[in-house]
This record gives sequence, structure tokens and C-alpha cells, in this order.
Amino acid sequence: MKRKYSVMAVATAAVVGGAMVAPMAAQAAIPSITIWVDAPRLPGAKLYAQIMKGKVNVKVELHGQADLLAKVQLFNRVKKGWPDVVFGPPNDVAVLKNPLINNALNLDKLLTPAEVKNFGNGNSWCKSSTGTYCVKNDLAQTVLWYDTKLFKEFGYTVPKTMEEFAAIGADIAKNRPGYSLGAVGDQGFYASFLWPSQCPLNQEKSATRVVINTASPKCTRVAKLLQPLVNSGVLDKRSYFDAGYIKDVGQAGKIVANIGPSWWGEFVLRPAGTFAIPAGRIATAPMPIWAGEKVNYSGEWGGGIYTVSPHSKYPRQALDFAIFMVSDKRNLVTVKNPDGSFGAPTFPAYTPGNALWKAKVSKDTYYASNPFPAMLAQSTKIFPGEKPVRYDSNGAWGAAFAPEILKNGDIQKAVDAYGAYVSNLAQQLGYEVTKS
Amino acid sequence: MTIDMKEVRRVFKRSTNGKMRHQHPLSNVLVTSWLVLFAVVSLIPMIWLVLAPSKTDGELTYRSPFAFGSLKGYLNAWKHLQFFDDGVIAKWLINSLWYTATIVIIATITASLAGFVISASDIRFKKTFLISTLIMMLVPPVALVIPLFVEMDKVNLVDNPWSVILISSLYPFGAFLAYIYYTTSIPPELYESARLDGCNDFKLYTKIALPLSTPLISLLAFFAFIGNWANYFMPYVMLPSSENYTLPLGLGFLFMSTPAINPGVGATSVPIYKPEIALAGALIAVPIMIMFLISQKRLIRGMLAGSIKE
Repeated sequence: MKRKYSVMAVATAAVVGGAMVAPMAAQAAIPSITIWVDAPRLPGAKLYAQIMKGKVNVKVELHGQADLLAKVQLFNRVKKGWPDVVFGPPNDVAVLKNPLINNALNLDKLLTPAEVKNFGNGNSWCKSSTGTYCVKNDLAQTVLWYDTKLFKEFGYTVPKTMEEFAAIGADIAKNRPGYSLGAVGDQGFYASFLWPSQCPLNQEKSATRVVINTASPKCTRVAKLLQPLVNSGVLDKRSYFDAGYIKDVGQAGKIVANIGPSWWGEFVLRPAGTFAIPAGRIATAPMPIWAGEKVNYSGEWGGGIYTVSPHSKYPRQALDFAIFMVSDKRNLVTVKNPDGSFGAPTFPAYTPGNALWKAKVSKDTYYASNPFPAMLAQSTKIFPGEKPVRYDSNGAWGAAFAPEILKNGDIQKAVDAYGAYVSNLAQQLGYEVTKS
Repeated sequence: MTIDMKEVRRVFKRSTNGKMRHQHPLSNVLVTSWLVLFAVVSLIPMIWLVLAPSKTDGELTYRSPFAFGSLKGYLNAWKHLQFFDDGVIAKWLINSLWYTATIVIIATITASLAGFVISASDIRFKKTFLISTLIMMLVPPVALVIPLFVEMDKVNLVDNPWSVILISSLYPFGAFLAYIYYTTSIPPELYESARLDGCNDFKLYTKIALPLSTPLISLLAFFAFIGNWANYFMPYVMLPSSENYTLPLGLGFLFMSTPAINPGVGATSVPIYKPEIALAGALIAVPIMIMFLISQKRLIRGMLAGSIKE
């Protein structure tokens, strides 16, 4: 009898123990990843964590875009704490892939052929001679934004070349004083004119060589064509975000057209705090082409990226999160944002994703016509020569270009000042600066 | 800022043996104008900060800087701030309160004790301790970031509020201030007679020094509060998770996360604009102003303590 009880006790213990061990083992097998995103990506990331419950333990943390590099260097010191996947500004990848920092995994082996195809040309920013170190979240390709009401009133047609764009500017200067084709005192000038013109400013050729050549004809033609417009005030010397420009030009409804990124309509032209242009007036068109070129290239102003940490134990799961953010309808269209809007705020960098996003933006009655076709057309035409660099190429627009253009109003001098500034930064970081 | 003129007059009268010096009327006008100018320069940003959240983002651009929008503006700005990461700003506010309160308590007690020990006790190496305190005051916190981060990592306190609390509770300036106070304001004879009556160092501190150091304690607590309520750097380094942020860190984070102040951010679906940023700024600045107004009387006493011999 005693033996019988002993056997029963052992059997019971085995069953109970087994039942306890089994879920623990299953739990231990669940991958865990930490995601760092900025505020606009937070609703999507939280949704992803919810969807993956039971399959992947996802910890979502909010971070400021400017923090990442400082934090990664601290984590490198203590050899732990790195997030598995991070959303960040586009230039970060150059620093993160630097062997000294080593926090961007080469994704060549991780990305499937279908994923590579779906990212397409838009992901060329993330590629270097040694591999693919990030995937793009969204594209910020420039297009022509124009006010259909003013175009009709003034009898203008949509410019297809930069010369036609300049001709509209000349007419505004002569016959419509006070009206504007935009502002040049910030990074927008680079994205709208210099980058599409293929002016070599931040063309990283290798980890140790960058081409910066403001004397290139691709740069000087920009200054030559647009200088009269700056002189006449049709292109304002201030920044788009200068309070005076917003009040005197933007909110006064005097912007006839301007070249801006794909997020421009939703986040600059429309909001009450910026230009507050009423509904039914704004439309988009493809980029005007520079003389002698075959492709009407775009530049980019923004366009975030995801990098996966080489320290991640679960790089595929980390990458899956990025793919979810750029392809899943629940994030791109239906997730509710803090401002009451739905879905991803910007043009997804993934082909199936931008097809989903199209449905959302196409039926937006704010626009005079569907803005999507022009955005789509330009999404594959971002000039691929400009590359992420290890120095702060974006901050240099505020530090070197803007003060010069504001002071003297001379485009070429301001571009030269930018070139000299970034050449200095590049050399400090060990780049060899060449002219070609 | 208002000054307790009675107190100033009392001290001034004592220091001049009751004889007021005759001043030229022009110099009075100049001094008053100078003070008014400084008061205006100090007040303008504060008034703007308090009024800004009452307006909408658009109104902030085209209306007068000192125009009042509406009370609803404050409510809207607060509502929008709460949209940010499901109301994380309330958590930041609570974090700021409890981190700062804990630091103020620990730092005030330890600084007062340290100052007392250096000035009044018989321990050895008093001079060395005093010089170490002065050296610690001279070392900028930035220089210690990496060693402190590594140290906190070794004791598993990174991303734990206690990393900030423990580090920030080190208060060499407070210890030095306490040393000055105990050296100049309490006659050494008092300690000696207390010792003759059988007081040990601890009793000497609790029964003699502490009851006589109310102005010092106020001053220590005030400076600890100011330094830590608005401290950005240490929480920034030690606390990577946003739920552990303090208000100043959160405000910096809001700056970076929205195009309201930083147009480079570009597109966002978070309704944080200039009024929301101004309201968050006011949440940080107003407690300091209130604290100063409440404690000014004690502060002036504390600052003047030990300055005269009777």
C-alpha cells in the first residue's frame, strides 16, 4: 500500500511538474525584442506588441531621434542595453554602421528577395558598397506643390522644366509682387533644388571618401537659374518655418507653388499653425526636370529608417517589426493616432505598403486633386548619388548655408559656405574629400 | 521677484549703526531704473510663457505676444499633452516630484551633517575633507558621465530612478555652505559648553546645531530643489526609458519629437505644437517661481546669516 502511494505521489509530482515546466519552456523559447521608436511611430509599435503577444515579447520604448547615438555609445561602454531595432533619422545609419559604433547590422542576408524587391529604389539610401544597413520607413521625395486657385487666376500652367518654373518666378516678380515660389533659408533648398540637380555635396563613395564639389556645373546651374528669383524676393531668403514667412506669405495665401517633400501638404500647407491654406486648392505635380537631363530627379527631406542591432539575439524578429510598419494595413491605414487621424502619416517606402496608403490619401478632400500619382512617380526617382555621411550634413544647412543666404542673398556663396563647412567636418572625421 | 524690504532695512540699519547715509536723488533714480529694467527683462519671458498656452498655434504666430487667448486654450494644450504616449507627461510630473523631493531630503540632511562635522567635530583629516568638497564643486558633472554610468551599470541601477537620486544627492556645494554657516554663525563656545555637559557629536548636532540652523536648512533645501527640479543631464544619461523621465527631460523630448520647435522632424501625427510646449515649459518653471516666492524671506535670512558680528 505504502509503495502504491509512493508511486502515485511520484506520478502526480511528474504530471504537475511537467505541466509547470512545459509553459516555462515555451515561455523561454519566445523571442524578446526591444523597439525604439519616435512619437509618430508609437501607436503602430504598440499595436505590433499587442499583435505579437505570445509569439514575440515586444518592449516598446519612446526615444528622441537625437538621442540614439549618445545612448548607443553609453551602451557600448557597458556592453549591454542596445535596443534590437530603432527608428531614426536617415543620416544615423552612416554613424551606426561605422565599426567604432557598430550598431547597424548588414541586412543583406536577412532580407528576402521579395522584401528587397518591395523596398526597391527607395532603399538605395541604405545601401553602400559593403551591404544594406537599414530599411526605409517612409520616403520624403520632393514633388511640386501648387495652388490651383492661384494658377488659374494668374493663368499659369504646371511647369515641367526648371526653366518653366523660373519663368513663372520671373512673371510673379514682374506682375504679382508679394507672391512666392517658396523659401530658401533652410534644408528645403537642398532637398528641392541642389539634390535633384545632382549637385555633389554629400556623396560618400566609401567609408573614407566623400565627394563635395560646389563648383560642379550641377551646383552652379542652380545658383544661376534661381538667383534672380532670390533677388526679386519670389524665393524668400528666410526659412519656411520663420514666423515672419509663415505670417506674411504662407498664411496670407501667397505661395503660388513650391517644391517640397511628400509630407508637405499634410504637415505644412494644411495645419492652422503653419500655412493654413484652405481646402480645395492644393495639388501636386512631378518634379520639373533640369535642362539636359533624362530623369526628373527628386531630393529628400526626411524619410526615417530602421536599423537592426548586430547585438540583437533575434534580428529576424527585429526586422519583422520594420516590415510590419511599412506593409501592414493595421499600421498604415487603421491605427489611431494621438491627433485623431488614422494610419501612417507619411509615404511608406515599401511597394505594397504605399498601395495601401494610396487609398487613404487619395480620398482626402483637402486636396484639389489626388496628390498620390505625383508622389508615386517621384518615389523611384530620388537621386541616389547623395548618401548618408558620418558628419551632421543636415545641421550644416542651419549652421553655414542659412546665415550666409540671409545675410548676402547670394546662392552660390551660401552653397560654397556649406561646402566649406561640411568639408571641414568630413576631414575631422577622417574622410578624404575629393572633387569627383 | 519681491524683496522683503523690512529685513533689508533692518540689516542695513544694523550694519550702519542706525545712521542712514544720505544719497543723491539722482542715484536713487538710476538705481531704481536699473532694477526696474532688470525686473522687466526677467518678467517678460515668464509672462509670455504663462500666456502662450492660452492661444492656439496659429494665434501664437499672428497675435501679440502678450495677448490672452482663452482659458480653453490651457485645457486644450493639456489635453493634447496627455495624448502624447497615453498621458506620459503626468508620469513625468510625478517622477519629477518624487525624485526631487527625495534628493532634497537626502541632500539637505547629508550636506548639513557634513558641514557640521567639518566645522565642529574633532574628527581627523577635516582639512582634507574640506578640500575634497571644494574640488568636487569644481568638477563639471559632464566630466563624470561615463564613469558614473559604468558605476551605475555595475550595481544594476541604470534605468532605475535611484541612480539619479543617489548621484544627485551628493551635494558638495551644500556641504560647503553648511560648513561656512556652522563656522560663522554658531559660537564655538556653545559647542564647548555642550561637550562639558556630556554631549557627543551627534547630540551636539541634533540638540544645538540643528535647532539653530533653520535658515541654513531652508537655503540648502532651496538650492537642492532648484538644481534638481530642472536637472536635465543626469536623468538623460541614466534613464533611457521614457516612463522614468523627469519633466525637463520630457520637455526636451517633446522638443525633439515634434516639428513645433524643431522643423527638421517634419511630419508628425502627434498634436504637440507651440502652446503645448509652452505649457510643458510653464509646468517646469512655475514651481520654481512659487518655491522662490514662498521661501524668499528665509532665503534672505539664510544668505545674510553670519555676515555681521553683534
